[in-house]
Amino acid sequence: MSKSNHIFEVKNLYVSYNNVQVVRDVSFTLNKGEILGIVGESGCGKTTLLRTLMMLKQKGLSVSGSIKFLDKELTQLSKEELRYIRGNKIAMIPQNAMASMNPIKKISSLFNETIKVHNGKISYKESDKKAITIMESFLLDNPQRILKSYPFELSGGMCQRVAIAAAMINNPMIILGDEPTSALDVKSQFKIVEQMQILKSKFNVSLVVISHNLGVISKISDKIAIMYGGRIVEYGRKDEIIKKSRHPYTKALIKAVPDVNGNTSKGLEGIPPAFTKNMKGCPFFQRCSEQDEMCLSILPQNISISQSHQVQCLKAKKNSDINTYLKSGYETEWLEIKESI
Amino acid sequence: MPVLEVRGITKRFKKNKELFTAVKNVDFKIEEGECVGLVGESGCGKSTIASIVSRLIKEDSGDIYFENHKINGGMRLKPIGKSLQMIFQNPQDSFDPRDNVLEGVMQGAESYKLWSKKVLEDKAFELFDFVGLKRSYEKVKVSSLSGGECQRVAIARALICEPKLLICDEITSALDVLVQTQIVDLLKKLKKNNNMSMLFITHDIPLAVALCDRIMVMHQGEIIEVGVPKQILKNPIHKEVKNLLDSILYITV
Repeated sequence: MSKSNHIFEVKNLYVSYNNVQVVRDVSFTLNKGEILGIVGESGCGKTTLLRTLMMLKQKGLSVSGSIKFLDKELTQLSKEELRYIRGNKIAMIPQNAMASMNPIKKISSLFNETIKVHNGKISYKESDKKAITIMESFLLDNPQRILKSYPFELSGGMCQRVAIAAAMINNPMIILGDEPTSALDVKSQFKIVEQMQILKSKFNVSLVVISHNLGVISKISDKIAIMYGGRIVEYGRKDEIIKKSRHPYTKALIKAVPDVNGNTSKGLEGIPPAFTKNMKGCPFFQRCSEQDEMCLSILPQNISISQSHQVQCLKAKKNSDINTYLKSGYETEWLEIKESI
Repeated sequence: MPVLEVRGITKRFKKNKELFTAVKNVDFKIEEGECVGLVGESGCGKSTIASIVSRLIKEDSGDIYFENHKINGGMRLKPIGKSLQMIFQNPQDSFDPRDNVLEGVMQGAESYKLWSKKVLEDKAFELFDFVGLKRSYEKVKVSSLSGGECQRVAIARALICEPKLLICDEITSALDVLVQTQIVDLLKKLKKNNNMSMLFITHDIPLAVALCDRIMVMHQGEIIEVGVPKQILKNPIHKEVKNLLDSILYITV
């Protein structure tokens, strides 16, 4: 793949909050029309990562590393430049669409304002026309009625679908979805997934979607990143993650979704580790069934399984390979441990 | 003897000045030790049934029998209240944010004045172990717990007065998949050890299949299909049930 295909390139991204790293060493690339799914538990840094991709910084957050959007380096841009990009080139679908809309304004003005902010003044007649075309392409029933409704008059699922249409109104290149399906029932979930597939096929938009549900993610994504403790512990094409996962955490996540016969595995006990200043060893250590002394003290780095598949687990390769892997940069640490064992 | 019997319940709400029937002539029974799943999409009337059975709202017509005693109508609810407990979708909202975990759990039995404070505390600590909470959490504020932990506290609170029927209204839908399986494991243990009857309300059919002995599917206020999980999953009769099954997102490549 040529490099020009990448419209989004994230490299060694660290986000820290009051000097505690919440997102650690995250790298990925996104091509045009590609969907990346990020899966992980609550509190693993998914939302912080997604907000950072838009440079929506909260007070006290500091970002290091690089986020490249086309040829621009987002981390270096000024507020005004970012304002132009946000909502225009990069749009976001919120988790709770209804809460993100103004309850005293109709959907029609939501679309009007979204266009106005980025592309200058526009009459309601024109913005309504645009909104109707876009809602029709997303197979929403009766867009005229929707435009005349207030957000609270629509169901949760419908609000979410309207939010996706509104995100699309300025023809962005990337849409970021923050758990767009988690508050919905199965039927609405299915419709949202359909809609995201339309986003890809009709508009050729790239998507970054985060969710804790591998069922949703596996339906839409091309690539999947599994996040744990602020790190991407496994990253690869969809089939590689689902069929050939190497990380024990990925395996647990896959088993947690009931299968066609309604069987579930025994859930993974415990909770994700709290973010602290000095973390040592593998973040998954406490909950892992395959752990040993080595995992306690060495932080696993990316191990390539194939060209597109990377895992951060010391057990992903056989022991002999581990030794050679460790020699490339982890010699001193490893020797210390060997002595202590 | 069925623990719960519901006969011909109907409930209407006012919506835009028109009457809208949320629950239409619903009958069902829950036997002792049976776990019944109630599934359906949002807005089909699942939670209305839960609220009617637990007497939070009044039905328009129909009868509810709890252990062969009619509980709707003029009867005092206190004696039934302790054997019929409900767990809600959003655990954080159902606790007083100023309470610590121990107070939260004991709150479930306080108004019945069954035991002295000392006995109540011992019972609460036993439940801590049962639901998998650390005993050191006793003084932690409920509002500072994670969703899964808080749901465990809610389950412990429901269990403290030794109920016969547990109504679980979407208790896993606000939780992560991994925590979801932990909670379902806990409910399975409860069913096996305590022979608890349960009404498990959810929109997640695979989850209901994993836990329940019998599943009722609701659509627009009516129960349209009842059956054992395998039958519902493999040979659904009603078109709407098929629709619902088709929208489940399994992990695919």
